[in-house]
Amino acid sequence: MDCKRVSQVIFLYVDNEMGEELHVAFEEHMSDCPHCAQRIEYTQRWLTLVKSRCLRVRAPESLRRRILTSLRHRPLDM
Amino acid sequence: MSKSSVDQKKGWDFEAVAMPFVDSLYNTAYRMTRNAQDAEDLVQETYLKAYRYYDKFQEGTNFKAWLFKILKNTFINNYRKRQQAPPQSDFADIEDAFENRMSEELSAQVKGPEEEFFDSVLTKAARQAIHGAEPDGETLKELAERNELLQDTVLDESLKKALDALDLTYKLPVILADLEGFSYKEIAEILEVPLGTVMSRLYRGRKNLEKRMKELWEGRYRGEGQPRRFRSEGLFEETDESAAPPDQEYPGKTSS
Repeated sequence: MDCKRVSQVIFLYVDNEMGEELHVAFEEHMSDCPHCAQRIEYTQRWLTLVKSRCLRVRAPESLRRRILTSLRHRPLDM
Repeated sequence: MSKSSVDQKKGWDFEAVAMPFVDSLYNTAYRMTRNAQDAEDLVQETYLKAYRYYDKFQEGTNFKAWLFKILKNTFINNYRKRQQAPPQSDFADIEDAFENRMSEELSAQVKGPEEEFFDSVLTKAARQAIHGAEPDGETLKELAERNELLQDTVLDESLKKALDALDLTYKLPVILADLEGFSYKEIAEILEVPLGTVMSRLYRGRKNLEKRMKELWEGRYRGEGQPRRFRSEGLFEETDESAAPPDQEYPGKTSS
């Protein structure tokens, strides 16, 4: 595994989506390469930022009511 | 059991399992339609469709992903109907229309001085902090270090703007992975694309997001609010766009 390959698959690692074999090769490279180790740490920090700070809103209460009403008064052939 | 009581039970079951996902569906719908009313309509339609096809849902499989797939397809179908375009499975055509709308909005914003563009990103508090900035200019980052209130506000605003600016093709995988917590396999199921495609779109989406945020974050300010571009250091590293993985390859987990 070289540094360029690490770059390509870095999200797989951070997302915990990496297969066993690749995971082993990846961690081996990381232990020898401080540059890549730093990139991984940066990527993890960056993704945590995005996940924690993206605004999510509550759906309007009126929407819930609308959905329940339309489900409960749906056409009989549904 | 009579037919109507079977039907009633199905209704109660469905409500119990499906209603907890209203917030998630609404948030995603809003980011797709970029309009609160359209988002509500889309979510309501999704629930009705999901109820209609509830008998087809396989017990034990991922219900949330199933709902999101219906949301995605309903969105695409509605768009097709409005445009009277032939059916397709991807966002390519929608993208063009969104891009046109997006570039109209952006050009409306940058027609005036750059200051107007940044005003649309910043809240009042942030703007006040910036007007108190040093006359020879600081990066937003430097300003933020001096002013804690500004950092959170500007970061949130630039994240919001940057995410909104992404093409749907890349925005949706990012939303599904990072806002809704789906796995790659689930995203592939929702979007009905191969795993390799999920991986490469997620890569590109996140990299574009980072790049745009970096651009906003690195805008330099003088007291009179005239931002200039400057080279980065600190919060963001240099992006390496040549590293995007090819579409076909998927070296990830093969088991769920």
